[in-house]
Amino acid sequence: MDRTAFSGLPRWVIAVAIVGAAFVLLPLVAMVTRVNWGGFVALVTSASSVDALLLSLRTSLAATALCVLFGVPMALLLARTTFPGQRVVRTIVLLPLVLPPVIGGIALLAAFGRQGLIGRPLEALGLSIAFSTVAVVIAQTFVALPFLVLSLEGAIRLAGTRYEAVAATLGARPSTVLRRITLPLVLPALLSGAVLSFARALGEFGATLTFAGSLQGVTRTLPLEIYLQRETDPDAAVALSLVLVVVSLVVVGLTLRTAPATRARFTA
Amino acid sequence: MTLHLQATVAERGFDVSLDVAEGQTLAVLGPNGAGKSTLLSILAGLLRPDSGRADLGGDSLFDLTSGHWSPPHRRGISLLAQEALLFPHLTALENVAFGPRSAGRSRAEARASAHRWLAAVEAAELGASRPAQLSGGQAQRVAIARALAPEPRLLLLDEPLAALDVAVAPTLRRMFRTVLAGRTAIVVTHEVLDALTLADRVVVLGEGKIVEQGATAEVLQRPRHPFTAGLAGLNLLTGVRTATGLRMSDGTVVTGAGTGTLGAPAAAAARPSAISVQLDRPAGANAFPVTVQDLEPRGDSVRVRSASMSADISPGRAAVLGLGPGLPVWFSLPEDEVAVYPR
Repeated sequence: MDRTAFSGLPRWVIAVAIVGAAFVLLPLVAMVTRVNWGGFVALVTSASSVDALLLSLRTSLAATALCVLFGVPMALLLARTTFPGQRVVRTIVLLPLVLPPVIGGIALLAAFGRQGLIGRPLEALGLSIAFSTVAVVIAQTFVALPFLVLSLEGAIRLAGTRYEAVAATLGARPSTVLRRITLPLVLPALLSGAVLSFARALGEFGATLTFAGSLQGVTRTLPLEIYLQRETDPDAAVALSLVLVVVSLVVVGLTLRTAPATRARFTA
Repeated sequence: MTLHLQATVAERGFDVSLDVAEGQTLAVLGPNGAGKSTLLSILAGLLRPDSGRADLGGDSLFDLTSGHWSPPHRRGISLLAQEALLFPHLTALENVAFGPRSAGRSRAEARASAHRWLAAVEAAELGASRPAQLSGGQAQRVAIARALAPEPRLLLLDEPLAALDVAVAPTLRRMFRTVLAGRTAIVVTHEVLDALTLADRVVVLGEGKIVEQGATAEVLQRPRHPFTAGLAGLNLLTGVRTATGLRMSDGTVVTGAGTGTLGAPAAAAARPSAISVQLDRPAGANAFPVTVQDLEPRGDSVRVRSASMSADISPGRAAVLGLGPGLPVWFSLPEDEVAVYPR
């Protein structure tokens, strides 16, 4: 903290903030106290645990890739163009952010399920999506996409169009401008958006359970495995929870670290 | 690369038609909001006018009667703004190489060309620097090299010296002079010095229209528009040509030699330092009763402003006269300081 900076905060604000921080921290600490350290390694390396962890990592990475693939053009369109109904489109795109994931799962079933809008014709072609690993990725992408779009759209707006205009007058075609100017300028936001999407995908539970089910090695991701183990083996559930907490901490830590560092590179 | 442009933008009241001959530099002067930036944006392809057409060296830039519109990257027109706007994530060399690279040159060719252009603007040693490490003057040099590297057919400069320290501006002004020699270019500027040192011709814009144009020296010596006179540091007296000089709209008669037909609109320019200030009516012609509006120190003189004209006198003289706002005085102007010309 900068010692010369004047904060001017009343003491009670600090007190309430500490209570708030404790509220977040306490359950996590409590969980750590419940960890059966003696059996920790065995618990987290059981076949079903490893399956769930690997599945979670695989699907979350795939979902993040899809979020980047679709989210970047969406963010560009929302930030750089005006079209009729843009506010409605933005609202709908961001809807999964506030929607209960179970509802997302039901909606996805209605679209891609065996009897679904797209699912039925796909089924006729021999392609079955629901209750497959693909369904897990779709569910995760559905809930994680808004995170990427939201953080990237703001950054693109903030970056403005002045550098892009200069690049165009220097003879760069629109695709070149996008690749060499726009995206590098918003790279920090793209990275942090991708990390947030990854974290959201990793934690996905409701939509996945509803739309993809819980089949070991196929659709049972780590959160589902933890929920299941809680019934039969609470020690395993706690141990796996700790693994997920650590992974999440690393992810959030990375975002917080990369963002200011990249900014400093531009202003140093 | 002769440029012809005719364009209107109704929303901004912009309606301009101009030509720039091959290898010539045109200075565009005008108050804020006169349409100078609009003009450059239209030429660079960043703003689409409502109507008009433009061609450069025989190639059409746009022709809105037929709907033709060439996008910025196909125009071969570089734009250099007040701020250098170097791409912050690229080194100075990569910035300069950006244009040639975008034109499809190989990486090695583009870098070689960037090295040459950096050397040409005396910034060879800055190649490896990031824009954030450069001073304002250094950044603007790199920006010049970057604008020239694609070998543009037309160079647009938007107040390229305005954001720089007074200490580095002269060096860069000299550099621009070298760079612009033989190049077709348009320089938007607030500085009469830029127009004098850089441009062959001048266009003065006011409220989206051209209010006067001509050879730089001619326009600055014989301004027809108050804005131009202000830039040139001259008093502008406008009226109708008479046998002995001109008569202003308020009936004031100005005596002096000049050109123009009787009864036609005429103007006379007078240097503020040629005007003397007295408390009592002086003998002879060109004595104007005025009221002092304000006084402004200007180096070793004091500018005495009235509603219609200004005089520069010494601080001592101002003290002797006891000048102050609201004081009625006489301005007098020697006849041989007045040149009347058609407006």
